[in-house]
Order: sequence, then structure tokens, then C-alpha cells
Amino acid sequence: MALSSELHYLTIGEAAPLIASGELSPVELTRAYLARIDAVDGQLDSFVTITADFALSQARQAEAEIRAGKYRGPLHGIPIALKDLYDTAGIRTTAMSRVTPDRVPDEDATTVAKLYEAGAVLLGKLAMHEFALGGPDFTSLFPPARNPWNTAHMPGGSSSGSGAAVAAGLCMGALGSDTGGSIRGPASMCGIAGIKPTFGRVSNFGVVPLSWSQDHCGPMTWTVEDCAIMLQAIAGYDPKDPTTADVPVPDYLTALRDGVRGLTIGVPREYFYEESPGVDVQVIQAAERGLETLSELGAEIRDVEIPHIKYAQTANQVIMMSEAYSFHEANLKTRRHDYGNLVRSRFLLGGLLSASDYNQALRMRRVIKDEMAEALHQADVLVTPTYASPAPEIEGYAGATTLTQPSFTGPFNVSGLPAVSTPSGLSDAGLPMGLQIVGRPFDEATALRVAHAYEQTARYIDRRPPM
Amino acid sequence: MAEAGESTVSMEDFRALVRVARLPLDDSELEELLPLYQFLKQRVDMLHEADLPLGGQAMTFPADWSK
Repeated sequence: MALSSELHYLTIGEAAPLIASGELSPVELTRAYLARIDAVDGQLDSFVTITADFALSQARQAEAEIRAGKYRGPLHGIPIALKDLYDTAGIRTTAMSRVTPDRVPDEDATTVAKLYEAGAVLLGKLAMHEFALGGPDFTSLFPPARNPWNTAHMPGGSSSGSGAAVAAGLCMGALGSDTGGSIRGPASMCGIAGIKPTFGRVSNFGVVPLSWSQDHCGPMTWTVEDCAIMLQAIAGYDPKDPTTADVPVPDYLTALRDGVRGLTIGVPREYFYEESPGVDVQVIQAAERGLETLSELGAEIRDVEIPHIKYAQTANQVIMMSEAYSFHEANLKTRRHDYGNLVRSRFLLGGLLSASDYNQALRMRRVIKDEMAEALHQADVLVTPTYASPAPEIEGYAGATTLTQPSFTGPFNVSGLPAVSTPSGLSDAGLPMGLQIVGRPFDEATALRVAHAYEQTARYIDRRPPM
Repeated sequence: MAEAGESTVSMEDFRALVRVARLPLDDSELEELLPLYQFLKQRVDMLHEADLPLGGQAMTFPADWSK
């Protein structure tokens, strides 16, 4: 087997058969990742809690089970990490906030329990934007994570540590959460894969909420195949979360093999492909090249319209801030200075919106959802750039950016549709950009299939950050 | 942010709004928050001006809701 110093760049898909056959030891693999974290994370601040003893204990158990012929599947013995808003029994879960600096849950989130059940090994908890909103904020509980492609830049957010740790080879996969783009944004900015599943596909039980009607849990990994493996483990109905849907979960890995020939790609040019303030033209050019690649692979490219799309970002933000204020109201009125500057201002804005504002946003959501459904009657998936720019610098980051910059991800939190981000190349400054593939409700499989076909042709996954 | 020189909400009105919301903010917090609120208000006004179909959000149950 490879030297320990090389193990951290194995994908889950590569490591799993080696573990299953006994060629790779989960204990050796876990030790390699802990050493990598020790060596590199001082530059990235991607981990806020490292669970070394727990991880080695899980790895030893996995090794013993596999030796005894009890292999559980492709996550058995695989070292992963969690955004620090996933409840972990007995392990501190802070949401990166001075409001909850010592919170230790007594129960695992359903997704965490499912990952343990699949045999995954928990390396630790990952940095994030405080309570999953705002931006890189030095007034939060821990320092903000940095981008491994250039540590002067942010890794995106709010699943910032998840993006940075996966890209830098500090874990084989991570869970993020996404309310306006918090999985897909960091996936785009860190050059990795990430999927926001359909609303209701994955349980939110035991995950600190931001916006109950728009929060989505999902995996972030180096490859689309690895996303499929992790999604397979966490997807499904959960009686503890009434927003989950009792619908069958398909075999995501098998679906990857089918390619894109015969599929129709819908392109909503208005809004997503227009040059406007806050949009870097390089991300549009990269997406156009992505469409060319998909066309060459046999997909039909077709323009589609979503007439009310220009209102989607505002609807996303109004719903998000209103629901977040509802959750945080008591603390905002008694201990608001325990919140970091960026997230506090967002939450307070939520308290100044009216019932009429919130209801108007919900009405708009219905319209946008119907228009997207119509577009997806004309196409199997939609393809857009993931994020409006490569990663901004951390120093001087303008807190208003998330309000003012056009969001290509938020519209799909409004509609609840599944959306994958996969790398679409590097900018002139050497920073990653992403391509977003949006599927029909509960059809993550086709979105993953298109993303996989593109990824395997474009091969941006062959280049790792310079760390 | 609202365009330079374009103030959609005065500080006096904003202060009143914050009071109604029962948020105990001091002057420096009000000054920091007002530009963000002005920007958001412009966007939200556009939501209200949009031509949307009549009908609101309704509670719905599937036919087999009791199962």
C-alpha cells in the first residue's frame, strides 16, 4: 500500500475496496489523517475540535469487524468530519458561537448516527460561519477557516471548514449544511464536489437550524462518486424529522455509470449567465465551457426560462432571516453581544421584517417553484455557474457581500430542488470555480450522473491545492 | 447597500421600527444596521410590487394523513 504520507489524497471510492480486501488498515488511514491535520491545519483553521481518541477507537473497531468478515460497505473505516452544527453525543457542538461555546449534546443527529452505522470514523468537528450565516468573522468563537488554494482567501461558507478540510486532504469527506448555498459555495471555492439534496431527502434532526423551511444537509467530498457514497448513507425518511419524505432512495452509485447521452440540459440564461455587478465573468465563461463539454458528451443543450428568478434571492433571504430570528429571538434580546458581528446584524434584520414581508416571500417561493418545475419538464437538469465569483480575500471581507452579490445557489433552496456543485476550472488567480447541476425533485441521481460525467471528462480533480 | 445618497428609511423611522420590534439596540448599532436595512428594504419592496397570483399559503394534508 501507499506510504502514509500519500494516503490523505485517496478518495473514498479508491480507499473502500482496499479496506474491504484488507490491503488498507482503517487504523493506519486514520493515523495518516490525524498526522495530516496536525501538520497542515495550523494554516487553515478548518477543525475546531479534533476527536483523535474517538476516531482511533472507531477505526480499531472497524478493523476488527472487517477482519471478522463483517464489512459494512464503502464508508466502513473511512475518516470523515462534520460541520460543527451536527449534534454529536458527548462531543462539543458549538455552531462556532459564543452563545453555545460548551454545548455537549446527549444524542447524535440522525445523519451522524447513520454515518456511524455505515462504519465511518469521526476525525472531528469543522469550522463554519457562526450559526451558518454571515461570513468569515474574527469575532466568532474560533478563527475563520482559510482556503487551501490560497490562505489569504476565504473557503466560502457557511460550511467553510468542510470545504477547506476536504480540499486539503484533512478528511475523506464531510457533512455541510446549505440554506442559501452553504454546501455548494464552499465546494465551488475549494474545488471539490458537494450536493444539496432535495428538501426532505435527508433528515435535519439534531442539526442546529438556521431556516427550518430551507435548511438542507448534505455531503462534501473530492469526487462526485464520493458524494454519492455519502448521500447513500444519510438519505431517507426519518420519523424524528417530519419534513423528511417517505420516498424510496435509489442506488446513487449505479446511476453514475449512465453518462449524459440522451439527456437534455436546461440553461436558464437570464440571471445566471448575465454579466452584472458582483459577477466575475470568468465563472460564466467556465460554465459555458462546461456546457460545451456536456454537449460533446452527447447531451442536448436547451435554453429554459424561469421568469421570476430575479426575486429568488430576496425570497431566500427574507425567509431565512425571519425564521432565524424566530429561533434566536430570546438570545438576541438578552445577550446579543455574544453573537459575532456579521451574524448578529443578519439576525437582527430578521426581527425588522414584517409578517407581510415573510408571507410575500412564501408566495414568491410558490411561483418560483412552479416555474422551475415547468423548466424541468423541458429538461432533465438545469446547469448554471455555482457561485458568482472565485473566493474573496478574508481581510477586508465586506459583511454585506452575501446580501448584495447575486446568488446562484439560493434560488434552489427556495424551490428545494437538488443541486450538485463540481469544479469548473481555476480562475486567472488560481482559485477554483464551480458548475452547478440542478435536478428534479428527489432525482439527485440524475444531477450526480451529469456532474460525474462532466468531472470525469474535465479532470479538474487531478489537481490538488498547493499544500 | 442602498445607492449613495439614496436613503429609503430615515434614522428616525428606523429607530421607531426597532423600538416596535423591542430590540434594545444602542446608537452605534442603529447606525451600523441602517444601511443594511435600507438595502434589504429596497429588495423587499420589489417583492411586494411583483405581480403574483392570488391565493396564499394553505395548510394541506395528504389523503392518508391519519396513517
